[in-house]
Amino acid sequence: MRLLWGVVTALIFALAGAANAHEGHDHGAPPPPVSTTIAPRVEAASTTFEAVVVARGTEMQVFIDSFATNEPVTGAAVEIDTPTGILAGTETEPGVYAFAAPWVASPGSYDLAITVIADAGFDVLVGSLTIPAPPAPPVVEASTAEVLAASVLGDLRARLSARDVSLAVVGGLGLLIGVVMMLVLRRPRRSGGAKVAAIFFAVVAAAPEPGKAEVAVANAALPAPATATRDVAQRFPDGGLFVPKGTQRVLGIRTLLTVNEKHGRRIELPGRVIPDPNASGYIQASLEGRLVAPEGGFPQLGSVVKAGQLVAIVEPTIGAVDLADRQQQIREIEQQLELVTKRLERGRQLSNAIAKTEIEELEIEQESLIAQRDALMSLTDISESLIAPVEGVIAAGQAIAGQIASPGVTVYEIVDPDRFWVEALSYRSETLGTEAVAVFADGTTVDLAYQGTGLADQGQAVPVRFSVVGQAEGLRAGQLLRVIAATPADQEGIVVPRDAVLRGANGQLVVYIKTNAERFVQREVRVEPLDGDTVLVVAGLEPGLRVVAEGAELLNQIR
Amino acid sequence: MSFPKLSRRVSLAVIGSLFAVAAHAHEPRPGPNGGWKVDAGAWHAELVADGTTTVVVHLFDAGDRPVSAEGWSANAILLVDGAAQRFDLAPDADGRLTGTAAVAVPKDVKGAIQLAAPDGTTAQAKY
Repeated sequence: MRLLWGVVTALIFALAGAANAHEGHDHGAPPPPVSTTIAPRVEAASTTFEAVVVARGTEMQVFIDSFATNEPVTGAAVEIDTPTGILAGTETEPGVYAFAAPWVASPGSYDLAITVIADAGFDVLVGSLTIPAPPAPPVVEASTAEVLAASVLGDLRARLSARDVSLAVVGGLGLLIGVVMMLVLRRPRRSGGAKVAAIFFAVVAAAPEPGKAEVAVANAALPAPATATRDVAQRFPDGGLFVPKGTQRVLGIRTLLTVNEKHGRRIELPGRVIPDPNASGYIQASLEGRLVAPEGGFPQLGSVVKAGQLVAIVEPTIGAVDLADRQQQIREIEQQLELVTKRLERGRQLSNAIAKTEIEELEIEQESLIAQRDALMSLTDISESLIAPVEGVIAAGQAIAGQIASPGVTVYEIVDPDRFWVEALSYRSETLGTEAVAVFADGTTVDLAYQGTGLADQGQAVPVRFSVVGQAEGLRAGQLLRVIAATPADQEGIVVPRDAVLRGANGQLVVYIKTNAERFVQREVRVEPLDGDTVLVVAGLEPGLRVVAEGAELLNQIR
Repeated sequence: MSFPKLSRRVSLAVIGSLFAVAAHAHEPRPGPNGGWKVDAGAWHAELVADGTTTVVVHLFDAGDRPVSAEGWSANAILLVDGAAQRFDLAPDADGRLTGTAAVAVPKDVKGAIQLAAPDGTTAQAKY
């Protein structure tokens, strides 16, 4: 029982607390207005211009764009022949012309002839602007419970917005009553009658006073929808888009008229940058030894070296075993030398008894032994000078004094920064033309010239080499890229910018087609590589369409 | 609750279909009197200009049968040398609409004719 009262008390507290919390608060930002209406409009087009007339309030806004490119037509003289006379427009924004026309506020159908005289040409566009009758207000059927809830909530909201003190008073009273109740109920010795009296008091006090208990009827709680000041882009259930001209201007939508063209067929190969084999070199030691810096120190990464420049000196190191071996050899030679010398001396003293040839042999042997000994003794002095084989820049490698250089290990790699090649891998045996383009990950392109194709497979692919044409800034050996190489075969298709082709929700490649002034639809396409900036649509489009060339990605984000 | 959403969809669809209709109309084609014939509302209108100041408009019904211009009224907005020439066209004895421009009008002139049928229906033809 006590638990129940505790719950009731807590509830009273909670309600009082809730009322306090809402005091002075707004209920978050109002929900964004839903675009239930699109301003009455008509579009008219010729081969030069495209016009969209939007009736808004008591004026007409006319958006004039180039038909083919969707570029706003600025600085034009625009006149409209209306049923009430000829109107001259004023350009309020670039490519937007405003006309005062109070009659567009009344429903009806109005024939308009729009005369556009611009630098790009002149034309008369015709269209019929239909202003619909205002829609009847929607009738909402609601159950009694909904009406009651709405009325109570509406009343609460009205009180909150009016900062009615009665709310605070009621909240505070609730708090007070809760405290009193707690005190009363926690005393077990109180009589049941007192308990009932206390609860009765609490209920009566908490109930709204009869005078203020009038429940406000949901007096047309729904506010009248305000006239939209702009139209909102929408996606149709069929995937098409309605994009008002104003939004198109913001998104910078540009189109191009599709034309069938014949281009050489291109293939795309993965590749990477390599140094020009004739303008790069390795510096390697031919014997094991310690590196010693030349005069001026070791060249560092990125420093320029000339062909023939001394970049490092290798001082051969000799192991302890080698040293002992050599000393032993020297001792043996010296021993033989001593024997030979003594025999030679003896022979010379007894020159009459010994054949002259024998003395000569001994002399030759002595000379040979001396030469052998000197050679062995001077071996520690041989050092190797490491010379740059080509002119270029130190691209890789690091030399530190005292570092041990081994034969075959690269100390430095020298690259000519102006001369790079590209090695691509071709998985199909294709005959390639001379032209090719390298496309980097960031979209930059570099022209290439075909040099040759290897015949030995490398991982089931044939290496194809291209040289970079002209100066290429910022290339690094090892950079990965795509090579778009020409083949002798021809291919027919429609050229569109690479950015115009998007990946649809299902993974297919799509482009946006502008079917009308403010309507865009997706088309599935099949594309082949062409060059770094454009692709060739070989299926899915026909000539004479308007493809969105710029801003397609932004259109795709419209939901 | 679904009513406003539905009406929005319907209005979008209606607007979309209006656009679709607008795009395919008014393809000029050679007419029987040596001018260009285009669609104008429920009718077809052929504009004949021969390099003089006189402009003649022949009217046809949707089945390309000639229609007398008696009771019709019309005005022309023609662009000649980058300037708009506006003048009225009136029915003549041969059941055509004729008018006189201030300057000579070439055969392939750009412009529009606003027509009013005897029953008050209006139509526009774009050349």
